[in-house]
Amino acid sequence: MNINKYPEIQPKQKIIKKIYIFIMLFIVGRAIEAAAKVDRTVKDIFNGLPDGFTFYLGVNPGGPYMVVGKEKDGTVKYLGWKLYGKKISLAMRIKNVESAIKVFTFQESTALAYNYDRFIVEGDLPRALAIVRVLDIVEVYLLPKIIARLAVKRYPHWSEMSPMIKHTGRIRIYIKAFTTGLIRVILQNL
Amino acid sequence: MIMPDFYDFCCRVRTVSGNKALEEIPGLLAGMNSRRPLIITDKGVEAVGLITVLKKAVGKKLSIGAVFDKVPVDSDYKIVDEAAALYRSKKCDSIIAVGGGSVIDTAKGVNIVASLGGKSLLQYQGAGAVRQKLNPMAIIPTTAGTGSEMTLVAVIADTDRHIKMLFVSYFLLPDLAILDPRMTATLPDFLTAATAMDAMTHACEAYYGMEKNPMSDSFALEAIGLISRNLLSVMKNPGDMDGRLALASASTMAGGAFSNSMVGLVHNLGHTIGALCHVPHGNCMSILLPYGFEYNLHRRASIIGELLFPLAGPEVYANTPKKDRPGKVIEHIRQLNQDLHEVTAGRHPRFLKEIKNRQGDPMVPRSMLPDIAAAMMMDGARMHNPEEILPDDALMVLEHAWEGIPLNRKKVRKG
Amino acid sequence: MKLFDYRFFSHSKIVSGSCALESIPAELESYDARKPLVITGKDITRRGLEKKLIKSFYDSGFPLGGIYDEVRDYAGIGLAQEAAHLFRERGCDSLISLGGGPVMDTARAVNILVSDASNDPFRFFDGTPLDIKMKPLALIPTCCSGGLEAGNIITLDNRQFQSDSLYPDVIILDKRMTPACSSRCAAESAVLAMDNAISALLDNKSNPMNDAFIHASLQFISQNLAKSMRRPKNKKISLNMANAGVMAGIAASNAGPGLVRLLSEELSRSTGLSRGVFTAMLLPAALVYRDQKSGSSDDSLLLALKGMDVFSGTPESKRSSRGIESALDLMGMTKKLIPETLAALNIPYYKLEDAAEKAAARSRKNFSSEDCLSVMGLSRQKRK
Repeated sequence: MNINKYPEIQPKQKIIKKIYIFIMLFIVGRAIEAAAKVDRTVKDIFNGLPDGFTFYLGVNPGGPYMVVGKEKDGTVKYLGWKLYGKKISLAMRIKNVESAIKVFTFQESTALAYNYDRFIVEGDLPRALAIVRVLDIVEVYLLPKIIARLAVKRYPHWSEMSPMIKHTGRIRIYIKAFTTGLIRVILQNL
Repeated sequence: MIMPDFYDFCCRVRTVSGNKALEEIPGLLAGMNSRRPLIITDKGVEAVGLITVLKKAVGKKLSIGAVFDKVPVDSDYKIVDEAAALYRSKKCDSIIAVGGGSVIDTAKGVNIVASLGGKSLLQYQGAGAVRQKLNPMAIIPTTAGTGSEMTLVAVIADTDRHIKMLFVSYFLLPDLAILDPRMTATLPDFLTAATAMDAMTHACEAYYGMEKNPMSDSFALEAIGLISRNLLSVMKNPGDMDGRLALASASTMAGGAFSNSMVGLVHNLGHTIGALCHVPHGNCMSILLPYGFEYNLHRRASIIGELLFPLAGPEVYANTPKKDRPGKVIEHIRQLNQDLHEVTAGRHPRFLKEIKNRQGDPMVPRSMLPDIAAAMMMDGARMHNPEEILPDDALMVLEHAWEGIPLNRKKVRKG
Repeated sequence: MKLFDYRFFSHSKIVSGSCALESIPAELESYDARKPLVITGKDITRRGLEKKLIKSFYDSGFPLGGIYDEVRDYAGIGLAQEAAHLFRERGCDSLISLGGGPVMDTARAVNILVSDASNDPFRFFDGTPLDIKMKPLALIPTCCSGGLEAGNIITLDNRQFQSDSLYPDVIILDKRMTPACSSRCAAESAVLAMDNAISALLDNKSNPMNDAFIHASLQFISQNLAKSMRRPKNKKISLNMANAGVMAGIAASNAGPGLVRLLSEELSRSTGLSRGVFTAMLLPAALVYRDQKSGSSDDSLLLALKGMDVFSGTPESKRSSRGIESALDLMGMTKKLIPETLAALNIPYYKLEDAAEKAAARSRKNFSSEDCLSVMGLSRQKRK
């Protein structure tokens, strides 16, 4: 029997999909940093988390990732896309690239993806739930209603988030996400 | 039958049911090369003589290594470590758990430490810590019940850090679930009611939850049918062994359903009330179940309507117009709670303000409802509920459940 | 059988739907396995299905130890030994069966060979219990399978044995893999699944867990059969039918073989025709025969096939007969695609007798060879 007839097959990579996910994670990470300054509920959620708390959202097994942490002085910062050298309190990994694409192209809401067992969560579950709540709020700010409704389980009613707050918040978050400390964090991660 | 876009399902537990199921244990364990089990139980189970019943049934065919009966009401890792040390010192090679939810969770924890080595369960926290088959384990439930014999989860407390540790792995599923009516025959009526309603809630929530799938639906429908047809008759005639067996099967199947399809609002609020007010789980479930239906009705009306078939039977189902079926389901559950309340002479509570401890004091003060609503955010079950639940929503539901009035559905924020 | 006196076991984890293939690495990893060997067959690689599997492993960090695609329509020890050699050379730690039927049987045989030190796999066929630690095994059903690959039986070189260690650990149902190659193939798979489900239902009076699998299976078959024959390549419909096949296969493994399965196996072996053809003829006849013989009424078939609304709308006294009618109608849908009749096949009578005797001998006294002959006789008349 000639075993070379049945060669071993090393897995290739889905480069374009991973680039897309990287960009989405980058934007979400920066938006979380901005939202922690702009939105009351996100501020409260992070106030309830201990100083030094660091979490990442990413794709199994090798990334891309986005890391966000709460510094000792209480400020929330996007810490980049590299895990190396960071003490992680909570890891939320999507099981594979295809599942991540489903989430980041809004074919599956975060809640549905969670229900479909797409996530591996390592760390304290109540904190993971709090971070998912933060992600939902950030998505409402980042995305127009027609898309955000696909991403979140229940789009906030105007009584929960007035259009004024939503739109001004959206502008402030986008500005902060693409300006404050952007060069610093890119250089730190290269 | 609905095919979801994705699902997964596993009920990897050999279930043996029958009037003489206990007698089969020696043969089944021998088939797994196990000859010297550790029996894990609690003092309550031992006091009503169930361990004696087990020992008599297995006779000389099984040489029992030791009996560990110190399991407390809430499983604790120190107890797990102690039992694992006993397992080793008595050279046991398997575990038989005889009891309810906390005995079963403790036994799962003991199996981790006993099979994988080490001194303490604390070494095995975190995802993916258990990645190989553990030593043989049989579970004999004494309530019908929590369905924990079919779940891949063990919840064990760390009293030092005041947290509950969650262990999740398919390898935690036991090898055997033994359903024998002798084990539930002496269950007092209020416990029969509470545990059966726990099973009923598991099945109902699995049926309307977000992770709903054809297999869990099938299991849930069977379970609901079996409970509906047998609960009240077993309450009136506690010695009805066939009825007890039916409820045992229903509880195991409901466990299989919800462990694959997860649970929602009812368990979300129920777990929180249990943690803060120490109310027995089954009581929270039966009170909150109608509210679970009402809260999710706008998203799950026709699915909830289908439950009328196993709950009330084909005649009632056929005679109820489709649009009225969900309402009839909710009415039916409330009536069931009322009937159980009467049969247990008031011990089965119908609403939160009616829950009393043994001294007769109310266990859920109205002043605690806001705290419960806030703490609810920390429970994972809300992720599986069809409609979003935030603290304001939870408080609204709790207030209605406290008074015992049907939910004002206009107040439900619909996504 | 006394009420609620039963045993039930289903080992496999079922994963079905979008990204199911991509979840295989995570599933294998939970068993501490990272390098699977793929066993598949020529008719599967001819359709390029292995390429889809390879693509689903991208970005997983998991290599595939190799794709052994020599299986044709028969599982034999020779091929299993070759594949086992490849498994060891490549340092594999798990197996993926891409395809059912003989492919899955070959994978099971490889698993025995690489897990058992004795190098004598046939001792298990002779009665030694298979209680060795086996490697993780994932099954990906493709088309033209009856669902029994999801169960616990291995057929190798025409010998068979049953053991719970033979169940696949994970069953992956993905619509990239399930479309049928032809309408006829879809019809035959459906008929086999129907037999698995219906025979198990009528055998197990009070095993609620098995009934749950059967009900789900028959609901899907009932809702999808006609569509799957018209559009065999449709992904969604074929996924539903594959689910039904797997559920029925698990139920059949718990219930034990019925008359139709054993008899069709014997007839297939002696004539070389597919088991699906014989099942399509025998199942309706067996139903009618059972109904005539037992005379007892059983309404579970109607509920399983037609659902709650039709069941509740049917008067109680008519439910049993309506159930049988529904089953016969469902099977009748396949007659255009499986037109063969027992009469037209002109099988010599001695072969029929022989098959009846062999089937009865394997049945452990559940039915006699007279029963088999009566069913075959009925099928000559009743095949519509």
